Amino acid sequence: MEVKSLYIIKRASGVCLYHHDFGEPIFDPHLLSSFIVAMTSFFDEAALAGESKARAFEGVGYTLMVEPGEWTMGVLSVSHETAKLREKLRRIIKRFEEQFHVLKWVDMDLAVYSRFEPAVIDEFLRDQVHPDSVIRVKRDWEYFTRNPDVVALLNLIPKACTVQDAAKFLELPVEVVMEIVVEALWDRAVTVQSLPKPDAIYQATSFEDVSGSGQLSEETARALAELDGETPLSIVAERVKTSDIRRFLEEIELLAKSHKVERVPTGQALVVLYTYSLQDFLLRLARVVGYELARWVFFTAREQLLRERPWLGFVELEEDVDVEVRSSLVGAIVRGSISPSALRESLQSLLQGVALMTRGLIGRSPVKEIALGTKGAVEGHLPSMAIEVEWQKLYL
Amino acid sequence: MALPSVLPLLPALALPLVVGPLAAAGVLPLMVLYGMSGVTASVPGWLALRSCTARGLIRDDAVHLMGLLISFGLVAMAVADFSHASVAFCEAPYLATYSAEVVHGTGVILWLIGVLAYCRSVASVLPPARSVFLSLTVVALFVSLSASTLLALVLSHLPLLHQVGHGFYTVTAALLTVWVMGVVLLFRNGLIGRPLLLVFPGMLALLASALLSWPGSQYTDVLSVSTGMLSYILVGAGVLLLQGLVSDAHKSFG
Repeated sequence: MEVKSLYIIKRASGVCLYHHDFGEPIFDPHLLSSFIVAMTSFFDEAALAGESKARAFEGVGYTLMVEPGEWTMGVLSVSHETAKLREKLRRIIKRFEEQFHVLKWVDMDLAVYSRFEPAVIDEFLRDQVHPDSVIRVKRDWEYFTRNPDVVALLNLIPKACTVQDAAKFLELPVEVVMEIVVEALWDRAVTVQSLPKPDAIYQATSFEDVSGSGQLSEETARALAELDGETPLSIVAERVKTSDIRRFLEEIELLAKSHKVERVPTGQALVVLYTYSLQDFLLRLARVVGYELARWVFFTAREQLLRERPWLGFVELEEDVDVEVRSSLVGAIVRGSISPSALRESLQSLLQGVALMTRGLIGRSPVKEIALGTKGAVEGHLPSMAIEVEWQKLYL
Repeated sequence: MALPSVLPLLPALALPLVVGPLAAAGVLPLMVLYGMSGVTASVPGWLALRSCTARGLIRDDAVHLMGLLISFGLVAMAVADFSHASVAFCEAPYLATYSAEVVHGTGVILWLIGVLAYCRSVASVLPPARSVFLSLTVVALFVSLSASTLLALVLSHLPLLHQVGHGFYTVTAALLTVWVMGVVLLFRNGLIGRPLLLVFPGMLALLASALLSWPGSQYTDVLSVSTGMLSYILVGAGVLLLQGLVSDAHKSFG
């Protein structure tokens, strides 16, 4: 598992208010909290910075990600730092500060551990369990859990099976089994392995030659060059003509674990989703009104949004209706200068603006047909992400 | 973005309404009428051709292709009408007339290909349009073939070649009319429907011209040529308006 431990520390006193080990315990929480507060104070003094800035401390095989809140500081021990994990850390700190704001002024026993447990499960464990995730039951699981639901489940299922297979065998809804598996994961009685989704977008982070390693097929080794951070895995698999998509996904998972590839940040995935949607919409429009008018629609819609969202000026149309995002904008997204929610809202506004201009050009009913056609195309290309776009707002 | 004004069109539309009756009354020779018809086809034809080719001749763009082929068609029809006008000076007037008809038919075929290509492009993007165009095509083919057969039976004294030629003209004009009607209905609430609203009566006038060409009497020939002139002006104006929209869009953002 990527995340090893979570610590939430009160900045004023350096006391560890909450901690949880997702795997084997590594650090003493009080020792760690003192160390982190001391180090961050030292760097603040040295850099003469007014506010404490986020840092990461790297060890062998682990990284301590530090994120300051208003009156707390979050520390996440991970195997490898990613923007997604940093976003999760920010969110969990915010939730903690909202739920236990009293602790800012007084030290009280508020049953923090039991009351904050659901929030930590929601943030760090729930997204690891999917219907096609493989559950691997630990050998001595009985010593890890006393939860009756978990015990009942683990007594009945084989040592390794998917969540969906377990639900089918036990004749339970998949959602119920997923919930129990999450609790089992929390108790450290099982591990889960999730294959990347076929429409997930990955980018290569290492350019070593992996073809001779013996662990990977030739197609997967060639696929590294195609992982450009814009192409879904299903399309990459088609390009390298892989015969077994499941094996391809398992090998990508292997490469991700060894940090040779990584899943793109949420913001970057959103850009891929919306540029694909916009391009498909404009292409369909161009077949009806021609390329010149389709370009006019895009530029007019974008012009109307530039005052409030100047960075939309970096979303351009190349030849005909090829939507292109400038590298400076991509860089800002990767650095986290633009939040995924702001990105989503702005790109959705651009798409809606284009749909509105199109309505003036060809009428309401044809726009609905074009929007539905684009939705179908996006669902085929990026099935799990298509739901992020508010399609109904394009034609209602 | 606003459509260019169609007011300059009005004097041109009056032309066939004036010269037609003059030719029917025998005041204006038929040869002169054909010549004027050639002019009314060539002027919008050349203007539309110039507008369509302003940003390149060959482009993968259905709207551009339709405009281009309609422009070429107008030019072909102008050549046909000029040829008709010079029939009196030919040694074999029957053959000269036949050649002019073939060139005219080529112009109509170019219109057919252009409009068909655009309709196919629209149908590829709007699924309901597919069934609409298919139904309209079936109805148009049935009605026009039936009408042509009936006319051929009633006017059985006409040469077979004459009957086949005019039958072809009638069927293609009917198809053009229903396809353009379909497109106008689809985009009736949008800006792009307005130039096409000029093209539709132009195609109706073409259909009327095709039907009036059957009997072969001087009076019906005059009416056929006059309605043909009306068709050239309206279709040419529609294409020019559409190209005007496209040019304005190009000038705004390049």
